[in-house]
Amino acid sequence: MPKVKVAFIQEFYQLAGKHQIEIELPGDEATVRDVLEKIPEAVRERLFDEKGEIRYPAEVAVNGRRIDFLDGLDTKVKDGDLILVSPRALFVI
Amino acid sequence: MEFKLLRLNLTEWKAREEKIPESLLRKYIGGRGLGAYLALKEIPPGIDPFSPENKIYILTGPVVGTGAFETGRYHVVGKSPLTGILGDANSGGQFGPWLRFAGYDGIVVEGASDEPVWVSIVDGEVQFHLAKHLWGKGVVYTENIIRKEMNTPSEHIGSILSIGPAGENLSKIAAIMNDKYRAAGRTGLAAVLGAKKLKAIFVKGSRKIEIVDKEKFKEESKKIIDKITKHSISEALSKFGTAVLVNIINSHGGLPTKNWTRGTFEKAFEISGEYLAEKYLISNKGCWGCVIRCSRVAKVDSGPYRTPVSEGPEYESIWAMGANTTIGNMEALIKLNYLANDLGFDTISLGNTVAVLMELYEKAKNGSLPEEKAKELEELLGDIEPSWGNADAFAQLVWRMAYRHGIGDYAAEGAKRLAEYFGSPDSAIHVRGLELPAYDPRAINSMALSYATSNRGGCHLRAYAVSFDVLGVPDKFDPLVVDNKKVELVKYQQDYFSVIDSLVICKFNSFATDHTDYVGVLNAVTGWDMTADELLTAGERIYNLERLFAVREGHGYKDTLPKRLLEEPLPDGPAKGRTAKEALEKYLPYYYEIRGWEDGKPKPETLKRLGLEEFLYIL
Ligand code: SF4
Repeated sequence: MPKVKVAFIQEFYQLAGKHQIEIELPGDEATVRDVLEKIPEAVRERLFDEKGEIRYPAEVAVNGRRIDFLDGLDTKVKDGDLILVSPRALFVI
Repeated sequence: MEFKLLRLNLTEWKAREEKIPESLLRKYIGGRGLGAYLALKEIPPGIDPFSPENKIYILTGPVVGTGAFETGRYHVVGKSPLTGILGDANSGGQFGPWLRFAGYDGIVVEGASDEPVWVSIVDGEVQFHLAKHLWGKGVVYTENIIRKEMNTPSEHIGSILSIGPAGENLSKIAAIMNDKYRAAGRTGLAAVLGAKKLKAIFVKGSRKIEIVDKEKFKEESKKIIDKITKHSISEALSKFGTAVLVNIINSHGGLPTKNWTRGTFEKAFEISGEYLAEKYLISNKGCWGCVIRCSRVAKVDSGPYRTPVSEGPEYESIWAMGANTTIGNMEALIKLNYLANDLGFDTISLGNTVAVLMELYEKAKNGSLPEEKAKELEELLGDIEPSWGNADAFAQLVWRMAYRHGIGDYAAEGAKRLAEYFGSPDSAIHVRGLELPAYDPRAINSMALSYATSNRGGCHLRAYAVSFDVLGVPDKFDPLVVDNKKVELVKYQQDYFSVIDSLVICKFNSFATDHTDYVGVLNAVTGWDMTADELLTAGERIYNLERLFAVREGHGYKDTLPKRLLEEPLPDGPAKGRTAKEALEKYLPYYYEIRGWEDGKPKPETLKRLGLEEFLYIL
C-alpha cells in the first residue's frame, strides 16, 4: 500500500498530539482531500470551514508547495509525499 | 524634535553632547538611516576597521521608548571588519529605551582607549571606569559585576551593553550583547569596540520621551496594535518562538543542512520550536514594552549540556549551529547558544564557520584539501575532532575561537577567511563576507535576489522574501516560480525595512503592517507633517546611501551569490535539482531598472531624485 506522511505545525501539532503521522492511501489515484479525511478529527475541525474548504489562515502544502499553486484539495499525492498542515506563521523571522 | 547624541572620545576619555538638526532627521529618520549618513560623512574612506578612526554609532530612533508597540530596540552602525563595508546590526531587550531615559538618543564611540574601559551614563552624567577586572570575562559575569558596582541589582532598571571575549580578541564574527542574551549580532561590530577597548556601557535615568501630539499618538498606535493583534494567528510567536519556522522551512526543502549541501534535515523536528516548547521552555519573555514576547526562556537541568535559565535559542541560531552542522540535539543547541552569547558571538556566523571547519576536516580526511593545508589543519586542531554533528567539538571550538587558541585563531576570522586560508574558498557560504542565514535560495527563489542585493551582505533582514514566498504575506507566491512581481516586493521590503530600522522598531510588526501605518505615529511623536510616500522615499534614500558606502570603498557592490548556490543543485526535498542561478539572472536586470542602478551602483539621476546630491562625487 502506498503511504504519505502528514506533518502538523504549531497549534495543529498541539491538536494532533503528534508532529507527524503516516497515512495509507486508498489507492494510486488519491488526492489531498482523501488524505486529510484520515487526520485526527480535532485538526479537521480547525482546518476546514462549513463548506469543506481550507479555513483562512491555514495552509496545506505538498512537498513544500502550497496546494493553491497545485490543484487545491484535488492535488494528487503519491507514495512518499510529505503533506504539511500549518497556520500561516506570521511575525516570524 | 530634539535628537541628542553623545560623543564618547575613548582616546581622551572625554564626552561631549551634540544636537542633530531636524532637517537631517527628516531625511534619515534615526537609527540605521542616521547611522549610515554619519558614517559616510565621518569615517574616512579606506581605513582599517580596527583603527581608531573607525566609529561605532549606537542609535535609537524617534519612537524608541514611547511604549506604543515594539519600540524597545536599538541599532548599531560602523565599518565592518568582516565585510570591509558598512556594517550594522539591531537588537532588542531594554538597552534602546534606557539609553533614551538616560538622556541621549544615540552614542558615537570614537578613538581608542589604551586600557580597557567601561562607561556609565546616568541621567545625562557620563563617567569612564577602568575595566581591567572585566576584560576576558563573559557577558553574564560582566553584567553582574557592573550592576553591583552601580548598585542597581534589578534587571528591570537600567541596561547594559557589552562585548565578550570574542569581541575583545577581535573575532570578526563577534556580537555586541545587551541584557545578557540579546545580540546586535551581525557584521562583527563588537570587534571594533574590542579594538577601542570599550568593554561595556551602562545606562539608566528618568528622562521623559517627548511626544508632541499625545492624543494623535494614542490613536495612531492603537490602530497599529489592532492590526497586529487581528493579523496575529494563534499567538504563534509567543507560544513557539521563532523556531516554529524549522519544520516549515524544512518541509519546503529550504533548511540549509550540512553546510548548504542539502535542503532538508532528518532531525528537524527535534530542533523545532514545537519540541523546544514541549521539553525545555520555562517561559517566554519580551523586549521592553512588547506585547508579542517572542523570546524563549529555557533551561537544561542536568547532563553534559546542563544550562542555567537563559534566553534563546532563536530559529537562526538553532539552524546555524544545528541543521547546518547536523547537530540534531536540542539540549546541545541550548548549551551552545548560551556559550555563544556569553562569549559574545554572532550565532549565524558562528554556525556557518564551524560548518566550514567540519567540511574542511572531512576534505582533509578524504584527500581533497591541498596536502600541506591538510597537514596544517591537523596540527592546529590538536585534540579536537570536528566531524559532522559533533556537538562537543563545537563547544570546545567556541572557547578556542573566543580566546584565539590553535584552530580557533583562524576560525575567529569567520567562514570566508577560514575557507580561503585552507584552500577551499567555495566552502564558505557568504555574500560580501557575511555568512548567510537560514533560508536556501535554491528552494525559496526570492531570497536569491534578497541576499545578493543586501547591502550588509548575507542577510534575511534587508528583505524578508520568505514572508511572501513561504508565509503568504502580503500575498502568496510559489517559491519555485520566477515572477517579477516578487522583485517589486523585494525592493519594497528593502526600502520599508530601512524605515523600520530607522524608526527603530521590531520587524515582527512589519508583516501585519506597511509604511502607511507608521507615518501617523512618527508625525504624532515629532510634530512633522510627513506623508507616507515621503517616509518610504526616506527608506529608499537610506538604501542607496548604504550602497554608496560600498561604492566608495571600491568593493562590495557586486550583487551575486556563492558558487555552491549558483552551480550545485539541491540533492533533496521539493527543490531537488534546482540552483539559484536562473532566478538571480532573471531578477537582477529588472531590480536594477526599478532601483535606477547600473551594475550595482546608483545612477547620478537616482541620487538627485533622492536628494543625495552631496554624494554624487562618489560615483
Ligand atoms: S516581537 Fe520579539 S523581538 Fe520583537 S520586540 Fe517583541 S519580544 Fe522583542
